[in-house]
Amino acid sequence: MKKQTPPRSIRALGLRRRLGKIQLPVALGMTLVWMMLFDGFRLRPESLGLLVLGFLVSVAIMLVFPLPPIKPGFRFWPVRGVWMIVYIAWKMFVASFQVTAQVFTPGTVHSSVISVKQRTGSDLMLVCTAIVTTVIPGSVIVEVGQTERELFVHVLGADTDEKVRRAEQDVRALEELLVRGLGTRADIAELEEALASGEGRV
Amino acid sequence: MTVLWIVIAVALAVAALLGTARLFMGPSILDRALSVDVLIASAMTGLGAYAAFHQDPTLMPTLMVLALLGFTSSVSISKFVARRPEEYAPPRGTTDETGTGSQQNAPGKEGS
Amino acid sequence: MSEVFVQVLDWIAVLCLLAGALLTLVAGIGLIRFPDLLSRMHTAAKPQVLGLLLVLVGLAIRLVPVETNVFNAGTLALVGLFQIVTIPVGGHIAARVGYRSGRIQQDLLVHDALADRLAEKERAQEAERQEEEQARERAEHQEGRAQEAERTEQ
Repeated sequence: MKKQTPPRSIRALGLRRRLGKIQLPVALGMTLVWMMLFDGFRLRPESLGLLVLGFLVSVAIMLVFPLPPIKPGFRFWPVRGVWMIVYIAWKMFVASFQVTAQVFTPGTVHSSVISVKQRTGSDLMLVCTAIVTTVIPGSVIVEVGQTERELFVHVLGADTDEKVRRAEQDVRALEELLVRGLGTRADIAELEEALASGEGRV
Repeated sequence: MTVLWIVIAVALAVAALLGTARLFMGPSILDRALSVDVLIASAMTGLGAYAAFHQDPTLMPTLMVLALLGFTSSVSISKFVARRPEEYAPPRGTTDETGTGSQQNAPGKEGS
Repeated sequence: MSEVFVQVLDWIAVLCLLAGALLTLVAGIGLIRFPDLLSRMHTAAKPQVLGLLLVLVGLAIRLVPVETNVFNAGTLALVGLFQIVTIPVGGHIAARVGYRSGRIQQDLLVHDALADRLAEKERAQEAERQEEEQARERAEHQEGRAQEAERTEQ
């Protein structure tokens, strides 16, 4: 059956290509979101139906809106990942109070735009670092140089060289944390290499 | 405890008022977009506080919609500004392009 | 569930909500107080992330003793997740458009790495453009000479 159905029309070809584009991990992730949305984790008769329906809906979404795969991919390292989340939450907490203190300090606030070069080649890590840097108060991404792998960060209240250097170190520490928590083996190897060659140190 | 609830309500109301003040004052359109963002954030906080006070989970979908769509206003306004910067502010000497494209494809955009 | 336990939960929830509301208030004050767009952006990001997360935690704690049908803590976690993922999008685009269209005050920036980079790029482009112009001029010149030659032939 299978070998005697070459794609006869363009339509069939398109359908086949689209079916090939379904990525199982992404579909499972969408099912998880669906379950969280409708409280599917409580044990009750509807839970199984919700699971199946959620999976079908996510497959339908991927058929209608096919997206390119996440190329380098990621993998969650449990211990490092949890440590990463705790660290980011703590950093967010501390930085919020710093910005609050900044608001109530009289006088004009001087800031800086710093450039931080990334040490890994993965686009996903670049995006993650940019998101986390923006989410933490006190630093906003102004510009991303994708080919140069460079982030331009606006840092609130960085008016001395010392503070500029510390902000740069913070972003680098975040990148290292993210790569160790979410990066693939290749990413981590790249980071270690950069660290070993001393290029990454500020 | 009632006092704390009142403090929460007053703080949110003052925050929304200050946001509205910036909305009126804001020298450029991006400042106004930013103050709309803050207004949305305070609306979400207010809805959360309301739901918590009444212990009423029916407002959660509203919170979710705001969380998903709250950023679209500032993005669309920024895109609008990026297309025609000269009307709202004098272009800075060093900026070559309008800022629509990313750095890499900026030179390719000269034809448009 | 004992009475005391519910009361302790209520107090924790109210304190979380209070912290979130105060962060929003600080954002409002910062919005008025800071002089330029980029520094205002910092205060605006704060209630959107930490303030909202605190409010969501407070709301979840407050809803513990209540029987809910469909929406529960999972929904709240999703709200927080979506907010964290979408906030940087708006913030980044607004910041970059603000920077590139000159809505920043250079005197407030102590150290500006991006301006140097943009100036460099500008110079490179300028050189490229000049080269192109020269090439075009040369071509025009040659064309003109060719036409001249044609005319003389006629």
